[in-house]
Amino acid sequence: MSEFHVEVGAYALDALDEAERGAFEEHLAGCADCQRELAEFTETTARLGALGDVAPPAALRSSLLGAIGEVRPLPPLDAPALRSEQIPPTATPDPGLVGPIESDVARSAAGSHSEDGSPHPEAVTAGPGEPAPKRALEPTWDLEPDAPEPFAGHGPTGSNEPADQLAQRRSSRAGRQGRRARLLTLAVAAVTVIALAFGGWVYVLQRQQQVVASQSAAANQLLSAPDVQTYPVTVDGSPATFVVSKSLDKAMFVGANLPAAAQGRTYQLWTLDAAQTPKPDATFPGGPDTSVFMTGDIRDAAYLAVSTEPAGGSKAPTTTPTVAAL
Amino acid sequence: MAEEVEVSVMMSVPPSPTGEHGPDPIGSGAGDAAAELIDLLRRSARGHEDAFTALYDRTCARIYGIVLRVLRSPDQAAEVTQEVYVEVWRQSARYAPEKGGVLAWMATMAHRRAIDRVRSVSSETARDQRYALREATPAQDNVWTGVEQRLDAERVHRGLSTLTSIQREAILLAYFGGYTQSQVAALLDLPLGTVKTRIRDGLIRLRDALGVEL
Repeated sequence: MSEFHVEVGAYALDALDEAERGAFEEHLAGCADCQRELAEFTETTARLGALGDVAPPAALRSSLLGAIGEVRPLPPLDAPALRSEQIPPTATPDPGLVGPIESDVARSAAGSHSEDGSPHPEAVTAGPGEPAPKRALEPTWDLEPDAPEPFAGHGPTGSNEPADQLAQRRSSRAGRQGRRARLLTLAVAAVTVIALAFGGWVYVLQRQQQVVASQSAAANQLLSAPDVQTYPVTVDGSPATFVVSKSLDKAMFVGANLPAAAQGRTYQLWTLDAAQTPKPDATFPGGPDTSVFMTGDIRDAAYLAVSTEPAGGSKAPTTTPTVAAL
Repeated sequence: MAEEVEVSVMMSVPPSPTGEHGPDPIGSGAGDAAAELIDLLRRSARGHEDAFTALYDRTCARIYGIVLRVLRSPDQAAEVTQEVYVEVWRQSARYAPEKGGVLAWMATMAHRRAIDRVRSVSSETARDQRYALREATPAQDNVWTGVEQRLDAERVHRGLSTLTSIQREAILLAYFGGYTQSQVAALLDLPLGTVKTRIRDGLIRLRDALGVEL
């Protein structure tokens, strides 16, 4: 038995100093026995925590939930396939040669789940004052030159997960040249939409800042899509608009002065395929400053529609829908 | 609005795929608690903040408890706990269930971070503070009254009782005290080699007493 083997206990308790820790981890990488024992010990030490359950201060919860809104979950380590099909071949390094290697080493080194937990260098790198070898452990990101900074906690880039995914998808498709054109499109589309139906948008922003903050991020996303289209319709005598991007697979229904749905009734959106089969989509109460994202498949929709339905919505329209042909 | 009409294209439409992450499984059988945490973490990995919120609610007393016990300062503990959960959120897609439970994964991360905080240079003062500062407010323990947690604690107490007093003390000094094995050796006035062995033997005994299996 190696002299190191006995230290697996202290290692599991985080009781090695920095030098000892490094030396042990070197040993651990090549010692299957230690890896197995460490896995068991880690599970064991974690149970010690049961001795000291203490409810955290309530403020922590809201603070944390605010914080994660700005942090993007990392992609899985083992799923480079989906990624590689989205990028030009020239930018595709051999997946067998990149990143996963080091990650795998780290994993086998850590043995148990500890690779995701403490002993994995990556898991602890975000701590204050620590150097950041994160890059080395996240090579998949290098495949996407335009992808947003994965550690989004400190900047506006990491608004939220869906937005980032969309941004990736877009940036992997369109080159830098397309970007300028897109900005132009964005400006034109934004002006169009604002003129058509966004009269109340600013007002909404002021009134419901928190709710709208996330929604407007998604709306900006939609408006900046290279293929954004607007389809004006009239609902109950009020102008309203479907804002659609097929490339993003997203559509939003906006109406600045929509009447509220009657008691016991609701507005309901529909997507229809080329055969005009309606699929139920989001329901909403109406009223001023309505803006609702559709939930269904937009990419393959041929028509979008809105109707009033009994509260709770219907499986198929029970009143004549107002239809926009895409 | 429009008059009531018969719509020709009446057909039953299957429920929309939004039902995929339907009702939150809070309150389901406690026996599936571990599987439930895995499910919550998986959904967190897909960006579902509601799932992450549920995961937090389920685990925060354990995680905060560990961190607080090591750091002693409630302010620092809250700070580190938040760091831990942000990291859990970031790493959620990289958790591998076959390598251990979600709670153990999180507890390991939390403990390491708390220890790092204790040992960081800047915490020379923090180290002083953590003894000067108030003890973990025991009143808050009452907030956490889950039967499961009580049973867990009971089991751990029983497990610890099977250890020799030196094994037990060495393990608790290291885990909750945040001491290195050398410091533990000094505190117990034992040779370092002895402490290393006691810690490992103690963990083996505790592992068996708790029935830990992977």
